[in-house]
Parts: sequence; structure tokens; C-alpha cells
Amino acid sequence: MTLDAELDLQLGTLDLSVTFDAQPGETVVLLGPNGAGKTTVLRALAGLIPIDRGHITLDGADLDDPTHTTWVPAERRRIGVVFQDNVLFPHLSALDNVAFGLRGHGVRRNAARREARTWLERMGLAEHVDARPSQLSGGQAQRVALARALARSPRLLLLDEPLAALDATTRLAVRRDLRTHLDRFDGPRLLVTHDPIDAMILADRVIVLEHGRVTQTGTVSELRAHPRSEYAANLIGVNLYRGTLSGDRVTVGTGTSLAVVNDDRVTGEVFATIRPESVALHPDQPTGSPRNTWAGTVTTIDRYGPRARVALDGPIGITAEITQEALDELAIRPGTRLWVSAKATEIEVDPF
Amino acid sequence: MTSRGDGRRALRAHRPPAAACALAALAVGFLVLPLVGLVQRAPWSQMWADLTDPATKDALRLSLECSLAATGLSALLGIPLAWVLARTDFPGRSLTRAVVLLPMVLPPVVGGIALFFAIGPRGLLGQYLDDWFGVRLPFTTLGTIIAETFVAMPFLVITVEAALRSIDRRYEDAASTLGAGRWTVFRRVTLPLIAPSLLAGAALSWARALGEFGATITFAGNLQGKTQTMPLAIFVAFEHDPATAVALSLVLVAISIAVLVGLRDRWFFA
Repeated sequence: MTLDAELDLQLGTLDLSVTFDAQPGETVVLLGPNGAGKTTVLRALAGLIPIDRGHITLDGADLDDPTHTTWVPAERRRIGVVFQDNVLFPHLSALDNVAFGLRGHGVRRNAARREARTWLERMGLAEHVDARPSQLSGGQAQRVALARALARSPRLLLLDEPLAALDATTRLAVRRDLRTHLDRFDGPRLLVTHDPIDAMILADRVIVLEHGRVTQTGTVSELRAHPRSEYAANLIGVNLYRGTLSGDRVTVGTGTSLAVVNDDRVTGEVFATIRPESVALHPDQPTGSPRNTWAGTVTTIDRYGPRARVALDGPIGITAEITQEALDELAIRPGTRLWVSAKATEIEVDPF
Repeated sequence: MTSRGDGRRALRAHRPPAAACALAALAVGFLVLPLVGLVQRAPWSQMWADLTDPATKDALRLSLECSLAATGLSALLGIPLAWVLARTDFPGRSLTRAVVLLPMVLPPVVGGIALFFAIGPRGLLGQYLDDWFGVRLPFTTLGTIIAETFVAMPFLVITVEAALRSIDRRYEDAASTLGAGRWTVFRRVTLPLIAPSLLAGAALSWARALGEFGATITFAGNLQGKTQTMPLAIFVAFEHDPATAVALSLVLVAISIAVLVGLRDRWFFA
């Protein structure tokens, strides 16, 4: 059930031209700023808009191919879509929303409802089968939307900003949940988002889309190490550490810890993020105010524009963003030993 | 600091201007006074006799039948028309919409005459109806229904078209990705979503059909039991027996109030 897509289309001011594939069991995250054409890609795959040139091939069969005038309409593509804001039918109960696709599938009304109930139970929504979408919380509605899309056993799953409508606290729980549900679906899944955290947690592979073009493809760690555009660098190029927070220290990996500011007195599993531009590099051990200092060895250097990203090995691997002027002045090259400093106040801590 | 003086000032800030209040009261009086006039002349003693008169019963039955038939016909043709106007783009769409809505502003008598020369016995299309099928629409109940549909359908079209434009198209997209074909999408998603507007539009056209006078009398005539609806019966009665006219009018007033009350939550006060 491999997806192979080459999309070329004009829509208003958007000029979209992308080529990519997605393998069974793989979560591909389409990451990009607003207006980059992410949703348009999903709509074209789902059969809601035709492409001008190229082809969409799923499981070896063409769904849309203008040169061979092949066109399979949306209702016959068997592609599950979770729309942004869920788009649950407001006049139907959660149960009937999920049963909708099953009935269209040739299943009788009662059988469809039984199966829909099973899906909702699996999503932990047994008590909400009769609720109208307006009576559900954001997280619950999102799970109903996912159940509705999955119930038809689609060949490909598309999700458009599935977490954007949720508030910050719900998002964490739903995101973790989503990962579990996505892993249970064995076809290719394509998720659109503008939130790098979604990509970090959910993606097997990330496709960065900007102005209708793919600017980079790779795993999250590849992107973080070598971002190829300013957008990618700013969004995903942050230093991200998973660790355990207790008091004012986050323990990362084995024994090493980072001093942080813990305003909210949280404890437990957290993400600590340090923006590369707030990391400073020194030839000698710094003695100033920064609470975190350690020595590391330069592994790679990426230059773009007047900036350079320097990746270092050490007790904690980190990427620093400095000016090319500083790079030249400190004569930094792969292998150089440097001291790293990061202020505790510059480290962001998010519960996981 | 809050004092009674502040409270009073706040109250004054929310009070509407006196001139507006006076004019609004005048407007209410203007709209209500005729109804009071009607009610105070109600011939309570002869009411039952008037209402059970065969001519009245015929007119009432005909009014209800024809107006409901006209509403049904308006929905049958008007919903697809509204869909085409809202969802497709073709050259001359604006012109089509203008022409479709024309009966709303056209004097009904003009509509009746226009119908006569279009589908009357010697009309543009009517001559063939007559020659080929022996169908003559004027002075028939079917003619009455057609005249009423002519004036009533635009109300349904305009309401449903606005509703079709305002609903979120992604509900329909979601339905197609769930395997629903176009007809299923329309029946199970679009129609329920526009239901409140459809009901309001149907009520408007039904009210318009029920009150229809000009086009009906011009095109379908005034034959008791065949084309004489309530407004026509009232008009005829008014010339020789005003009391009966009042009694019949009150019946229409009662029906209209019942519909207003029935729809109040769904549309008029939404």
C-alpha cells in the first residue's frame, strides 16, 4: 500500500509542485508555514481537487493522472481523512458519524452501528456514543474524527492539522494518544502540521514544504542537524532533550543534567528545548552567569547566509548558531574543542 | 466607586432616544390597527354559518390544497435551481438569478397576464399543450397551483441558495471521502445542514401562495370549487356581504399567526 505522488497544480496564487512517497506503516509529516500548500496536497490526494500534471498512485493503481485522463473520485479512493477542526457532521451523533462511512461501504444500518460502537469503545469513547459533536470536548471530537476515518479501513490515512484546534494541555495527551492510534494503522499515514513538536513526536520522516515546493526531506534528527532553509532551521533546528525534571534540574540520558528554571514546579517526564541561537561557544571555560557549561568537540559546520550552525559532541550533544564572523575568529573547524554555555533562563521545559 | 447616581447614569446611557421610541410605537400601531379593525367587526353570531357555507369550505380547502401543492412544486424545482445557482458557475448566472427572482417584485397581476400568454390556450407554449394534449390550464385548479408557484418559488430559491452558500463545504468533502456519492452527500449531509433555511423558505413561499390573489384571478379565474381560493372568496364577499368577508379574513389571520408561532424559534427570532 505504497503512496507515490507527483503533484503539479495551480490554485489561486499557489503554485504547487511536489514529489514524494509514503510507505506502509510509515508516518510522514508534511511540515510547512501557512499558505505553503500543505492542505492542498491532502485535498489532491483525497480526490477533492484534481491535479494539473503528474500522478497519484496508491498501491500500484493510478488515482489521478491527467495525461492518461485517469480520475478516481473521492468516494471511491478509500482514503481516510481527518480534517482540520474535525468536521464532524453536526446533525449526527458520534456513533452515526462513525457509522456514516461504514454504511456508504455497503454495510447495513445496524451492522454499521455495531461496528461504529466498537470503534468508539476502542477510542475510549463508550460513554459518548450518543453525544452530538457540539457536546464533545476538542480531544473527544478529534478521536471521533479519527475513528470515523479509520472505520472504513482506508488504504491511506491523511490528517490535516489534527492537533491545531486543541488547547495546550489537551494537545499533549491527544498527541501521545494519536501516536498509539497511528501505529495501529498499517497503511501509509500523512500528517500535515505547522507545529514542529508534532513532527518530532509523530514523524518517521518529515517533508518540509515552503511556497509549494519541497525544500527538505529527512528524519527529524537529520533536519535538526542540517536544516536547509531558514524556516526549517528556526522551527525544527532546536536542541531537544527528553529527560526527567526534578527541582531545578533536568536529567538527560545517564547522569548528565541541565540547570533550568522551573516556575511551574513540575516534575516527571519533560522536553527541554534550547534554541541554537541562545547557545554560546567559548575557547576557554567560561566563568560568568550561565548555569550550564561543558566542553565538547565540533562535528559538523553548516553555513547559511551570514550564520553558521555548529554541531558539537560531548556529554550533551548540541547545536549552536553563531555568526560566520565568530566562526572565523575562533577558527572553528571539525575536531575543535570548545566550551559550550547555555543560560538556565533560555531553556524551555514542556511536560511530555 | 459605585453610587446610585452612577447606576442611574448607566441606565440612561442604555435608554433609546425618545424619537425612536415614538416612531417605533407608531409603526406597531400602524401594523396592529388594521387587525383590531378586523376583529372588532367580527360577526361572531353568524361566524359559524359563514364558515360552514359550501362556498367557504370549498375556498378554504382549495386554498390549503393549492398553497401546499405550490410549496411542494416550489421545493421540487426550487431546491435544484438554488443548488445550481449556488454551486455552479456558468455564463449568465447573475442574469438567471435576476430573472428567477423577478416574480418577487413583479405585480402579481402582470404575472398572471404573462402566464396567460405563455401557457394559456393561445400562448407561446400553451397552444401546443392544447393542440397536442388537450390541456388547458386557465380556469383549472392546476392553473391556480401554477400561478401560486410562479409567485412563491423565488422565496424558496433565494433562501435555500443563501443557505447552500453559507454552509461549510468541508462537511460535503468529508462525506465524499467516507464513500458517499453525490446524491448520498446531498441527502444525508447537505439537506440536513440546510434544513432550517429550507423550512423557513418553504414557510415563506407557502405564506405567499396562500395569500396569492392577482396572478390567480388573472390566469386561473374565479370559479368556486375550482380556482376560487380564500383571498378571491374574500374579495367577492366584500362587495356584497362585508361581514362574511371579515369572517373569512379572520380565518386567514388565524392560520398566519399559527404559522408564525410555529416557526418563531426556527427562524424569525433566530
